Amino acid sequence: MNSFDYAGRKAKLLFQSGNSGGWVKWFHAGIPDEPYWQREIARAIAALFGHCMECTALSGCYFKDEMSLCPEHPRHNGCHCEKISTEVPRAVAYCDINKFTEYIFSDKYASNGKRALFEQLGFIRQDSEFLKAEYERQAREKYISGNYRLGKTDNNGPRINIEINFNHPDRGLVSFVSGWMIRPNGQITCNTPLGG
Amino acid sequence: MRQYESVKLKNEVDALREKGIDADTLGVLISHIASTGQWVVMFLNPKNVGDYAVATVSERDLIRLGSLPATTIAEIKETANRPDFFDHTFFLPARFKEYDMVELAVDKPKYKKEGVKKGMRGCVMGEYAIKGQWQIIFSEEGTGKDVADIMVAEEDLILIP
Repeated sequence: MNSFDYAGRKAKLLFQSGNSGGWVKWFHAGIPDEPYWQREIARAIAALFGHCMECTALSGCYFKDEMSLCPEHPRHNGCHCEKISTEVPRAVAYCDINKFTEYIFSDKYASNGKRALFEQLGFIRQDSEFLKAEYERQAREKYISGNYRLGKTDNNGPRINIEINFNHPDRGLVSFVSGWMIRPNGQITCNTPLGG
Repeated sequence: MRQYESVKLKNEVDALREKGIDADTLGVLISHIASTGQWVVMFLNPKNVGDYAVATVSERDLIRLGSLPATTIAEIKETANRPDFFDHTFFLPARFKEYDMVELAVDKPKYKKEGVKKGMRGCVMGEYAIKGQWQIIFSEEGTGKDVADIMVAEEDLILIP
């Protein structure tokens, strides 16, 4: 693609409208969304073959169709990706409980200050199940509402930040900025319960 | 089972475990060794996307998963024709696991531009590496704020016990 084509596609994106569903699904040729084993093998072979790992990670991921909420497309010269207009996905948010038990509340990582911030709100390690469920509930609602901030995309996939809110009797509303990864088929997985 | 179909290792096999290939590892059938009941299989390292090992396995130790996309099969064929394809006979061992504490052992521009310098410590946030790089979250001391969430080459990290 020459520079004029590239500029033309970018300009078109700026003025594009008509996606009544309001969402887009990213698609890279040859990377299935599921089953899990088929996607993993296809991505691994694509890695060996020199495909852009960022793009293969993006394939199957859903984004709100707004410039600030969707990764830039195309991502590079010769990009094999497409964005397909679609409806809001049936989203599932997953937060591994170890994000709390092995990271936030871990003695090993206490010096980073995250545990103290949770403890100031009255949370302890034993609240991990509650926190996991609350994070999943709020993150899912906010993702499908488009209430997220797009982060960077790398070989691991696209990142987003979502504010998780807690009401404290003395402090009022407290927000933690959590980090998530968008996965295929409407799934988001928690990277960190507290990014800052 | 047919050539270029996807399989999973059903049983632990000592000869494969020595190469780092454990039960449940995904693979692709590359060629059938006639009259032996064995296949040459390209196993994919679950701990490091992009790493693979070629091994000979009895069909009875494999579970057939199914077919792969045509694009993937075409790329497998081309990969298998590379002169060094069969030289990869063991998985590269993974030095880290999720939630390990690691320290950046080098200064490099790609890390510096993210605010990460030699000596900074972080947490391994992924279950596996991708092309030898791990997802690491580096945090400030005491504030709870993250400095960066980046992919770091395994050789640029040291494990903090």
